[in-house]
Parts: sequence; structure tokens; C-alpha cells
Amino acid sequence: MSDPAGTLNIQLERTSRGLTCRIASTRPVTAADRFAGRAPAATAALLPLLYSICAKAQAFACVASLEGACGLLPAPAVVARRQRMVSVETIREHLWRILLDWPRLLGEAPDRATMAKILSLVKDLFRLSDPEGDLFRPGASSAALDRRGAARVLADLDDLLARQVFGAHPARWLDEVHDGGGFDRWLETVDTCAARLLRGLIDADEAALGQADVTGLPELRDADLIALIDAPEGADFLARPTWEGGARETSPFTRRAGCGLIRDLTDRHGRGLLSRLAAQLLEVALLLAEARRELATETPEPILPPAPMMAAAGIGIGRADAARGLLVHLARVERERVTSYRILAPTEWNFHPRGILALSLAALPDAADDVLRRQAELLIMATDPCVAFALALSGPRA
Amino acid sequence: MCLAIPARITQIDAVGENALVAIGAVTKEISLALIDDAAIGDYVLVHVGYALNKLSEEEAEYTLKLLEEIGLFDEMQDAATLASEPPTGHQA
Repeated sequence: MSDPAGTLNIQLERTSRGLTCRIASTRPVTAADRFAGRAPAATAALLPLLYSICAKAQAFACVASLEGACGLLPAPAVVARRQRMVSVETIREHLWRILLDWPRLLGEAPDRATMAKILSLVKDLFRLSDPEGDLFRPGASSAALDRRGAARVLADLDDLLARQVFGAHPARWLDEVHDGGGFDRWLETVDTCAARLLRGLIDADEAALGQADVTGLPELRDADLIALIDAPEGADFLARPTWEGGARETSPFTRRAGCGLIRDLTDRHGRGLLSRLAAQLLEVALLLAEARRELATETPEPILPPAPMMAAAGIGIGRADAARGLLVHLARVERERVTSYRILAPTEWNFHPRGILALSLAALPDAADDVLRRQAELLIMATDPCVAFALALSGPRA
Repeated sequence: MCLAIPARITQIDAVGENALVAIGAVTKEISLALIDDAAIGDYVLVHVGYALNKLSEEEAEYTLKLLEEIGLFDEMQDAATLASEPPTGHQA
């Protein structure tokens, strides 16, 4: 029996025509269908227990799909509070990479002490944002928030990240690093691990590594998603999704591609390594800013998700902007029982056998094994799998 | 889709930094750097090589029972590699 959560096996092979990349996944992509037969409330309570790494994003998409299928319309304040929980989780997931994996790729020790503090602060924010633990229950009506307590925790998080990641308060970093020039000045003056890694990529001429021609996933209509997921070959689609015949990308990079900083970096360095890693860093600062704004406002203004799917009674689609990209849940409910449940996760788009990671890896220039492995790991980190991966290099160097 | 299975700590190294855990029938080495006071027999959630947080025995057993109930362990035993696609790269 393999790792129950699944593994991504990534094989990079030297051939006479250059590098080829093969990605094979053992992720149990249809496991959620086992929730069929349960009541919507039980499903909403149980599903995040199983998918507990990105539990808030899973809970958000889950409750949205079930509310849609049951014809329930959540209050804007409830949606806003749920959405903020997902954002805090995204901040935590990006910091996981930035503090634990980025140092390793520089040959430095992971900053486990800072990450442990962040985990503790994030748990506090979750508790203060959902004191009753019922925010993700279908039909939840309360959105209680200990505003003062959450502001204190957020201030601690800002202080910690100012010292360990940004070299300045994250709000000030956003003001100063709003374009390529500001980014350059930041790289020149700050000596955190994040800045060292990104500066090192430019110095080593590695900033543009991994350019690949995979376009971003467009906003898909509910009807299109339902048709693809519910089709007889829906399980294949969940394992290896495509849109209009091609693999697509959904990631922090595609989410932030329109921001001034990422546009500038893409103009200078292409859609490669530096732009992708910078998008993760930028997203942390942007989501912190949103959380600060929400806490300063008595009546939050939610970015409302699409209205619940009403095209057919008993079907609901839930979408969450999870840390690694768009997460979609589809629920069918009949007579107060879930009859089918499907999850389409961003990892399946981004680690598709012909997707952004596969093409990025195949585009690497051939190099000595240690160099190639390090560059491949950088690209994998920038694409950010949510499960373990195994990278194998094969074939002799020409 | 980040499935997390409760893992039981079966062994801890002398300095308390790393541990062996059992996830179903699989044994893995993980870091304990992000959690406090881990002991042999504790259940933890594992995320890419680290124990993310401790679970009470009750929580862990509830989740494991749920996994068993919905037949997920059976599916995992049968999990086949999705390697039928040709490799991506410089193809003729």
C-alpha cells in the first residue's frame, strides 16, 4: 500500500531530443464520492476532517456546494468571514514554503521556530473568527468575531513577518514593492531568506527558468463544470483535467498576474521561477492587508462568490481560492441526502502530465545532476504540490 | 485535494527532532519541529514531512473510523498509477 494521501512521481529524463518529463499521481481523486448517502450537515462537518491540510478552503467549497444544492443563500457577513478564514489558511500555506522550503534550496536551515509561531497565531485567528465552530455549517447565520483579539493576533503576525520575511511591516512592503523598481530596491536592501533566494535567482541567471506555454484557467461557468465533472468520464477529468483541449494553470501566479509587481516581473523575467515565487510572497502581503481592512471595518464587504447554482434543483457548485489555486466541489442532494460528491483540486490542473509543471521541467536546460535537481525542485516548490513528491532523474548527460 | 490521515508516532529519535509514524500500513519519517511535547503513541496530522498538529486519540480514532467506513483505505490499496500519458517534453 502506497502513501494513503497519494504521491506525485515526477520523472525527468534526458533523451536525444532534450528533457522529457513524466508525472504520475496516486492521489485518490474520487474519494469524496464516498460521502454519498450522508446528510448535508454531516458531510459539511466530516469532509474537512479528512481533507484537513487545506481544511478551510475545503470547508468553504463544501458548504457552498451543499448550500447551493439545498437552495440556501448564506448572509454576506457569513460568506465574508468564511472567506477570510480561507485567506488566513492561504497565508499559512505560502509561509510554509517560504520559511521551510526556500531556505533548504539556499542550503540554509528551515526556519522552523518562526513557522511554529505562525501555526500558533493562525490557530488563534481561526478560533477568534469562528468561536462557536459553526461557521461552515450549511445555513450558518452567525458570524461572530472577536475583532479586538483578532487585530492583536494579526499585529503579532505582521511583526513576525516584518522581521523574518519582508524586512518591513507587510503594509509598508506592499507600498514600496508595487513594481519592478521597488522590488529591485527591496532585494538590494533586505537580507531575509526570501530576499536572498529571489536575489540569488537573478544573480545566477535563473530567474526566467521554467517558462512554459500553459495559459491560465479562465472563469468557468457552473454549467460547464457540471458537464465535465458529471460526464461518464468524469473521474478521468478529475484526475487529469483540461479545458478546451489543453492543460491550464490555476495558482497564486495566475491569480496575481494582473498586479503591477507581477506584470513588471513577467515583462522582465517571463512567466518563470522568479515571477511565480514572487506571486506567493505578494499574495501573503495582499491577504494580510485584506484581513487588516476587514478588522477595521464594522460591516465587512465580502467578495461574493457566484450566486448558488440554480440551473437544476439539487446540484451545487462550490469554489474556493485555495492556497494552490481554484478548488471546486460539486454536490448533488436529493431528499436531504448527498447522492454524489466530487472534488476538483488545483494540484490536478498544475501537475497534469502536460501541465505547467511538466512543461516547465521539460524546458530546463540540461545540466549536471545536482544543478538539474535543484532547479527542478525550485520549480516544483514554485508550483507547490499539496502532497509528497518523488523526483527522479534519468538518462546520461550528452 | 489535500487528504490528511492521522499518523501514530511509533518511534522518536534521541534528540526528539524526528519520529517514525505509522499511516495505515505505511511507515514514514517526519520532523517534530513544529509541535510541542510529542510522545510515542500520540496521533499527529502530517503535512509534507512535518507533524502539523497533534490530535486527541478520540479525534484520530474518529477520523480513522470515518476513513474505514467510507472505504478509503480499500481504495488506496488499489490505487493505480495514472501514468498512461506519454511524457511531456521535446517530442518529435
